[in-house]
Amino acid sequence: MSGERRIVAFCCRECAYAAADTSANARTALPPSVRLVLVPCTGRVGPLHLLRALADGADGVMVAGCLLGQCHYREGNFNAVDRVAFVRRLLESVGVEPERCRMFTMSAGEPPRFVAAVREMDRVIAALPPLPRSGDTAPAAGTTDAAVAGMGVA
Amino acid sequence: MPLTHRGREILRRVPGGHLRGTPAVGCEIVRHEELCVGCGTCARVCPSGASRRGGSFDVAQLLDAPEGSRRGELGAALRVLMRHPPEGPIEVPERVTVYRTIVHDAEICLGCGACARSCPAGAVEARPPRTDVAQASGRDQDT
Amino acid sequence: MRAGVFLCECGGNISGVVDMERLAGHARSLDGVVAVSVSQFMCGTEGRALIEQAVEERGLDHVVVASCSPRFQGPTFERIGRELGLGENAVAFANIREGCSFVHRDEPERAQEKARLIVAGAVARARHMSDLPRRRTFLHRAALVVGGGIAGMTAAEELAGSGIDVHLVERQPSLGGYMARLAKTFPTEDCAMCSLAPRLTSTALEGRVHIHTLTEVEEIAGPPGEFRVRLRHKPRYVTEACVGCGECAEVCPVTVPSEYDFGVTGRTAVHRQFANAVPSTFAVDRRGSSPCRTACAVSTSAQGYVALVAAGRFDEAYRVAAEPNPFPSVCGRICTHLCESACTRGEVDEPVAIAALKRFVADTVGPTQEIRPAPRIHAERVAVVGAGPAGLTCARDLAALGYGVTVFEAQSVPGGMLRLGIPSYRLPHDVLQREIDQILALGVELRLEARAGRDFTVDGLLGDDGYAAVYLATGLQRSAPVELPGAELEGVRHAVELLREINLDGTPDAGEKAVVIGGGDVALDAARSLIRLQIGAGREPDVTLVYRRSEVEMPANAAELQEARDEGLKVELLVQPVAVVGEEGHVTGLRLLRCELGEPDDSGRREPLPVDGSDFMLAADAVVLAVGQALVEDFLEGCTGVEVEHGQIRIDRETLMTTRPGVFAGGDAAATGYYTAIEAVAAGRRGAAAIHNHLRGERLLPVWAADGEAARPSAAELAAVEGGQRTPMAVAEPESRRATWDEVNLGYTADQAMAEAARCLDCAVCSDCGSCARVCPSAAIDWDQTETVEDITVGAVILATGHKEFDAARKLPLGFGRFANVLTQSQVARLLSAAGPTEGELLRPSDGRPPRRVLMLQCVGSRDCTGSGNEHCSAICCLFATLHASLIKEHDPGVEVTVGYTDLRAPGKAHEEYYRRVQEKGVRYVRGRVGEIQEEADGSLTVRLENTMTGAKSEERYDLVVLSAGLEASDGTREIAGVAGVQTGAAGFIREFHPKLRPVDTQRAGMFVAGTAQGPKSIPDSIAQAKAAAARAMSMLSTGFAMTPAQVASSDLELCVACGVCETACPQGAVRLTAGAGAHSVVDPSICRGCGICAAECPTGAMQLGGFSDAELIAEATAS
Repeated sequence: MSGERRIVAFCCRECAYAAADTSANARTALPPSVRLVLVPCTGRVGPLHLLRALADGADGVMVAGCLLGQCHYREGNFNAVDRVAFVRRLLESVGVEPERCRMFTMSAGEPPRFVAAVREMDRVIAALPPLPRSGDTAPAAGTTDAAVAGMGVA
Repeated sequence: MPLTHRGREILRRVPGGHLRGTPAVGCEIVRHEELCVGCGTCARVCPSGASRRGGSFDVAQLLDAPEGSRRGELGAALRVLMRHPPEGPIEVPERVTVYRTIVHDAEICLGCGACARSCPAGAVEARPPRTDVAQASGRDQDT
Repeated sequence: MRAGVFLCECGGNISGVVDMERLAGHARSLDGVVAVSVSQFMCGTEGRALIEQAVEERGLDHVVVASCSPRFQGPTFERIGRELGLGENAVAFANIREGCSFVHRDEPERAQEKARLIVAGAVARARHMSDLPRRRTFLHRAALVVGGGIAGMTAAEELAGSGIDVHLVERQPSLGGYMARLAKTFPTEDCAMCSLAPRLTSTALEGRVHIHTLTEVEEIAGPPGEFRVRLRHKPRYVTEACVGCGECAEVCPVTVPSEYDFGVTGRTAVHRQFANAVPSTFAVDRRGSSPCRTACAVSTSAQGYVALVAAGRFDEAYRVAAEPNPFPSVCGRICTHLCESACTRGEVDEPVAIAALKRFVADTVGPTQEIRPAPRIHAERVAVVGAGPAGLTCARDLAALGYGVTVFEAQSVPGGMLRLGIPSYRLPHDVLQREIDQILALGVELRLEARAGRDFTVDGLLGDDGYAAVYLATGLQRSAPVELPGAELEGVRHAVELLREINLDGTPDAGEKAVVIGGGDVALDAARSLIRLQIGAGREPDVTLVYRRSEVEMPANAAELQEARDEGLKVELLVQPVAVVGEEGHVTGLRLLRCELGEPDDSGRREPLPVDGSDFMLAADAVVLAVGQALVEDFLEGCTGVEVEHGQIRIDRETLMTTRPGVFAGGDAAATGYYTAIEAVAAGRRGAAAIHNHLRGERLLPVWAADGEAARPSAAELAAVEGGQRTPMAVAEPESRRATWDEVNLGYTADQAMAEAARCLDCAVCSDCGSCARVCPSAAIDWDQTETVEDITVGAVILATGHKEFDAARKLPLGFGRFANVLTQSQVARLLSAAGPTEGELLRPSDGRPPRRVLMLQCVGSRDCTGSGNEHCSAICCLFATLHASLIKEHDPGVEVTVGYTDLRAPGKAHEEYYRRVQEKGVRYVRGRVGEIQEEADGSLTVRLENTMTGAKSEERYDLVVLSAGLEASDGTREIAGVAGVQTGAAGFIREFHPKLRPVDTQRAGMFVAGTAQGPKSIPDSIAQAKAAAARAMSMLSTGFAMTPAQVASSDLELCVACGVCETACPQGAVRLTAGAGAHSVVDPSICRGCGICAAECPTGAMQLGGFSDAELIAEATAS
């Protein structure tokens, strides 16, 4: 595993992922730290996804969705905003920098906003020390596959 | 737990809520927060509004939750990241529904035990009332 | 898992940055990967062959494609997966082009590492991917088209032509939409109606198109293919018997601005939008019940007779006023006129003087009426006891229903309290007698000085006399007892008795110093009568009114109090009588306490509290008590079985029958409302209806009228009303009038009445005057129509709800709405239309003269980032203005037409050529910006214009300025978007699924959009889009069934705890809880759109989204 910082970006298919595709097709350079995970709507992303990404190797995690009020499923991004806020408070309460988890919104027609969001996230995470994880405590095997969990700390 | 004055008053208003020969009124409600999944069923079935979803969440509930449960998974992830034990309860944003600590108001509670019977996680226990209290509250099988 | 990883070079797009061999090596090392291939173009045939071969030879169960964004080639590979029998969810994507090579071209080493991670993520995800179920759904071969404009009609016909049943819904009374209102269309300059009319006809004749006009879509539920639609049909009040002759509109007295003509002219309440409207049936714009009507105890359509008075049609007005009320002249004088209190005009300035108008028509027309005896239809005779307003009204209605009626009256004159309780200076006896005579003329027999219990008995009436029913309307003849020390002294009288004596031509002693106790109308009547009596006895009047509270709390009419003061009445407020004092049995004065007002009591009025030690004496030799009346019960002698309760005859509220069958009661004796004249009339009417129902043995007439919904003009309409004041009524001079018993208020002249009536705001539009029904040759007017609801099921929905013109009044400096000669293009379209209000002649509104200099101003509310306008270009305005400029030039080449534009946009076939031709006609195009428009004294407009090409500023004068106001989504478009759950974008237009690839699909499957509901566009574009939308609906419906999508939520019964969080969270209503034991959540896959909000909310992980399960997402996010 290289010493690169890693950021996982959950992007909604309707806006953020579309904006990412458009900016990429224009060959706009982005920091390689950010890896996209496609979701249909940011309303799909729950606290578990965000915490697991951080616990299993990411230094930061971002959720990128439609502009508020323009969710293609009406209000999914409002749910996402609150869940991100919840996760930030969770992190803060156990001494982890809340800025490691952030929400961004943009329309499909605003690739620059996507680029700015990714660069901003990278800049913030770069300024933070590496995210320490407690020993080699494997996360409890639950409904997710133990093998996946194991990979997280490999 | 003896039935409070207010409890009796509410009981009168609840249809079919008058004291019957069931030991399920006047129970002491004991909650095991570490087992709670936050589904809110107890709040939904509570006839008096004694149980409800609160505005804050005790982070320790995640850490103490059983392995394999949804909260347990979250707790496991959090434990990996944790730099110190959680600093008290956190305030929960509006649209987060299931990560809220259930507030149980013993003063309002009738002790009917509906919450305990319906809790899917076994997080609520209804301890039967002491006999003298049951008599005082007019159980008809005793009279 | 046996997965194959297929790496795409994308012709160098990927392989130019990422070393494919190294990546393949990494992929091979991943757990579960049994095959790795690299291809130059994985999306091509070579790629497909590679995948096919690997699946077959290596027995793959999952395919991982590392190539471009899954948003591009995802569907291609998913289809390959399906076709190779791997199921629904067998292909995982590693986006190494947009996600990696395109964006990290300068950092190949880091790109390499990231590509490795992305592929690892996809492989990890694949490990959790399993097949997803899909289900067939049935499709209804029917469609709903919302909006009856050109787009909606076109789509409807197209669908019908392919054998699909169509419900075409339009909220207006007729089809046609915006196009029906245009004069001509660009660039061909052919008449809009000429091209529209054949379509209107063919749509109407198309058997498969069910046209629903005056209909709103209230709800659309259910899945695509099986939408359950609730339609709400507004009543038209005209049946299909209508032959479209238009007689009704000729006689309708109400005129409101015509929406169809954009307000450049008016229309009547019963109307048809245009001559060849489809359907051709007229419609009545009836917005419930006017507030004046709702307030009236007998539901008199005051708006109706007011409208007819304004039109100078007094005879008809009289009919409307007299139909529900045999005492219009009386009520025009002494009614408490709650109608005026409810009058909406009162919110602007003062209520319309409704009572005075009623008095005017009744006094003018009433005396000319010839009344013939009503034909006797029924054998039964009815006895009415008491010839007051309740008894006489009941008698009239029963006579009109065909019964024989006898009225018994104890007094020597008929009229009851109207005759005996009201002084003649307020209600002249001859006026009352005239209206009573008209009732008697119907054949009603009147027996005076016949007192029940003395001269006859009710038992006798029902027995030997052979009456079938009795109506007791004996009123309250006795003053209520008063507990005031000294009330028994000589010189102390009750007001009711005093007034009765005066009205029976007596001249009671009014003393030299009289005091009246009370604050109601009766107290005032007594006080003013005392003034007249004292003057009649040759004395200087000295009358004082004492009242416990202040003037605000006084129940008496404020205007009448002023009249009384003008006549010399003294008023002592906030005093409470303690005792009447006297000497030798005769009153000498009144002891009073001063009061102050405390807290409001139950009636909401502030309670007077006596002030200790404030008592004082008021000298008086006559004291009149005006404090309530009571039932005289002697008529009950010989009236077996009738019960009295709390001083009133007990009746059943529904049947109005007393405790004795066949005996009914009403009026003050059995009051059901206030003790007013109009309530007595209402009681009489109810009594007649109840007796008729009783005698006929069935409920033929409603006893209690149903309250209509009170109508009122919109806030905007109210704001536009210019304030003024009531037309004052002539009043006799106080000095002269107080010496006689002649009437004080002298009534309106015809001119005054018409002027006053014109102040009415037509709250309910239709005034219920009934003129149309009287003239309709085919009896097509139907007042009993009500709103109805219809549920239909359709497979597809097309939204074609159109646009509206931007409200140019929002651009304040341009003066629209303030200056008469500033119009919009739509208004000019009406003026230029041969079928329009000016028959195609362009006349300026201020003086009706043809303008010589016309300025058209472009981009009003369009391409406007100021916040008061819209950002978008409205697309058609440049050519709309060019068309009108051309038409004006055509009509009169001498007219100078200038078009002030921002940029002239004429794309589209033959549009640029058209623009050039019109330019050659001499229309001046100036690229300019307008600062402000000012109105000159003659109505011309001075326009400050900046030429944005030369920078020159100029001030020019024009006769007419036409604003090319842009297009916005219509109200219907905004509303249907909410009902249908489709998204809207800027300016409210419905958003398409994809602006290029799916331009007529909305975000909701099975719902399509056409015409200007989607955005500004020309007529040909609207038609093309309508046909496209119809084709989309057809292709969807023609398969007969559909597959539910794979990406839907589903709940694991083992884990579900039935908490219902998912049900609440679902924005589509696709999730519900089952009932009973073992309850759990169920997702309807035909409604679920796959957002996954429910899955993220689920507290146990039972709810998962197909293709995006927690395991899949976490595996991908945590891969390393």
